[in-house]
Amino acid sequence: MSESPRPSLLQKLAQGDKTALGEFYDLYSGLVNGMALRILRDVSEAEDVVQEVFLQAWRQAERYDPSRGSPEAWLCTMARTRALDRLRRRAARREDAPDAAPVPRLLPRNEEALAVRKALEGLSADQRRAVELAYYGGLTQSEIAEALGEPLGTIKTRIRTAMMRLREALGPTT
Amino acid sequence: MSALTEKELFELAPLAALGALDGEDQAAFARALPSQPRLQQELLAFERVVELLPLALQPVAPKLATRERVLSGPVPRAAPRPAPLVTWLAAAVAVLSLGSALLLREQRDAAQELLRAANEQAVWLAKDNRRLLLELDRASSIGHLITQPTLRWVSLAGQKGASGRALYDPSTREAYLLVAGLPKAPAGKAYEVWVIAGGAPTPAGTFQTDDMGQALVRLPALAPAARVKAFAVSLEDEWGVPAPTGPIVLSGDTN
Repeated sequence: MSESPRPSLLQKLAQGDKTALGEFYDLYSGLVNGMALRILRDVSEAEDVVQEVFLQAWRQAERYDPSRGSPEAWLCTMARTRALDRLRRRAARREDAPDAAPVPRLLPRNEEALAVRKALEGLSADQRRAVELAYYGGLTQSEIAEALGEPLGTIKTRIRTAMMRLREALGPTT
Repeated sequence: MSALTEKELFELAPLAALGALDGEDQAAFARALPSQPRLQQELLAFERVVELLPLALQPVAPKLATRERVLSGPVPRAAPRPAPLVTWLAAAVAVLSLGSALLLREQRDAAQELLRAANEQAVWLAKDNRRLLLELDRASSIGHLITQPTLRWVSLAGQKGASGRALYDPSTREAYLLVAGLPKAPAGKAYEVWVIAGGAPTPAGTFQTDDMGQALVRLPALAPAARVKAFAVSLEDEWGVPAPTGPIVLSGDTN
């Protein structure tokens, strides 16, 4: 993810600057909410995740190290973990995802987002489905094979091929 | 189950980056990872790809109320209403019971919150740790190598400004190759290093260059008593070949 002045906003956050929290929220809440909504498909639950993620970011901002990744990656890691937790708890209760919530469409936000979208569109539908089941569904290779009714070896090859293509398209690779 | 080959482990790296490994694959990968710097590098490269995936999603603005909840922080507790004196004892029992239940629930929620935060932190730290170990390993090895009086180096040259330098120490058999100006290998291809020490060229690993056309490659220990005559780099299939078949893109001898 590209370099930006945003880490300095996180430094302000770490110093307890509530105005910075507002700015930080305005910058990234759409991304976090889109991510949570993509996983949970439930507006109310997704917004609970948004609240949890930003409060956690507020509490843990002093531990953020830009060399480990961008603020987007940091927030999305938190959002994904929390949303998948909720998804698994829901699955344990055998609840289905509500039908009414819209799933965000793939639309670019900037050049980098456009590149990711283009890379994903370069995959076959089967490849994209397998990667999405792993990333947004939190499923393992065996669970994906079972969900799609296909041999485990086929799924492993499909995901590997898809990831190699994404890596080639998005680089850097080393 | 027998140990997986390097190729099989590399094939698991993209699945590991997605968190999709399970069963014996997951166990084998976890066992091999700490001792294999190239595998760690491969995993990091795929983890970077995974980090980019959510950028393709359309941002969806949350409701304004969510912003207000975030900015106001944790919701303050309502102050308890004073109970009439006559019902004090009964109320006290009820409050104590309710208080205990609330306290337990609060403690459970706090514990779950801590666990979640610890898990997320662990993911970041593990990734960071792998990156730092790789950098430390390279830095300390190169630092050690270049201070050795027995250090030797060979300049490699190629077309269109590509160049390289092999650093090696015959006494310790350590060797590194630094490369610049080599374009990224086409899909399914990789650069392969060759050490020429008299007989047929010996393969010394494959590598990819970054966006700047650069690479720093730690080579396998040189053969004992080998008197290196030359280093070369050719473009080969992704997993390398036992003898060079593709075009030589860099070469240099020790004379």
